[in-house]
Amino acid sequence: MAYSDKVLEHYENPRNVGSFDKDETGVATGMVGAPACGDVMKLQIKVNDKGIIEDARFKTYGCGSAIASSSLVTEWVKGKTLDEAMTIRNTQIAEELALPPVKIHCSILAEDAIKAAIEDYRIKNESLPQVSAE
Amino acid sequence: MSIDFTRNYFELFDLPQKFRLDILRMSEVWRNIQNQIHPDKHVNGSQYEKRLAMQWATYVNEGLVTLRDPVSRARYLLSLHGFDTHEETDTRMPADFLMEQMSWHEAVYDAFHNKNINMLNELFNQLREVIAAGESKLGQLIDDEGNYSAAVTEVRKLCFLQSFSQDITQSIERLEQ
Repeated sequence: MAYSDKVLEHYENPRNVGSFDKDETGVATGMVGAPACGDVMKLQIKVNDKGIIEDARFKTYGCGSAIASSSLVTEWVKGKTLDEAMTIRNTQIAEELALPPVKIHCSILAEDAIKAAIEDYRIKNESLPQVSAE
Repeated sequence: MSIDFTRNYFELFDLPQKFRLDILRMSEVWRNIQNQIHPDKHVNGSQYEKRLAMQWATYVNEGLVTLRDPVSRARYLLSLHGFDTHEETDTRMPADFLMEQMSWHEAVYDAFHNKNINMLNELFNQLREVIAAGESKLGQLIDDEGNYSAAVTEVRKLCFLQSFSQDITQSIERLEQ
């Protein structure tokens, strides 16, 4: 099966590959996997004190489409608030990368990875005292 | 044997609806059925009879393939009990399991890039053991405990492990070329 140019571009030059220290302040980790194809995806976000995602990293073991999907979302989430990042949908990822129907699950994996990272951030931070923004 | 598409695959092969299965007996029954319905026996039959024999042969073969592989057998058994393994849609897995998968993948990646076939073979053998242990756990969860939701998780884990074992095999083959 042929990959689209955009998938190949991300596959050959993946953005934001790597890891943050998971215990660093503001860092949250989302890990998901797709049983159907065995792909495993780790996506990390670094959130600043204004609640904005200022950086992201990923590590994905899977096909080209899974790598491209995670590379793309690490670019998309940067500069977004958590609520904005929550609105990213797999259909947008699939459309941007021109994924064929059999590869839609790769974009679902990337959407779920972002959601898992945001959920991890919220769980980690809900125990902290609430500071009102003046 | 009369043709009846409403029988599930276990009923078809006259086997108890269990994960632990007598594969030899299933193969025997399969051969008997195939002998009875071989298309050559219907050369003088009507078009309808030929078509029916063909469909029945297909159904019986699907049954054999489904029950022969432990993971697909477990998936099928769970579906008979009303449990779906959601392998296409549900991406949540226990975090420690995914972490472990990550480090396995890293080890294979390193071994491949260092052209270390011995290490790949060793990882493959370790993985086979983990898969065998998972399959025996399925027998315990389904047949002994009737714990179907835990068995769903186990099937989902084994999906990862099976596809991972194919990855290692491919890496070994590429290095051996």
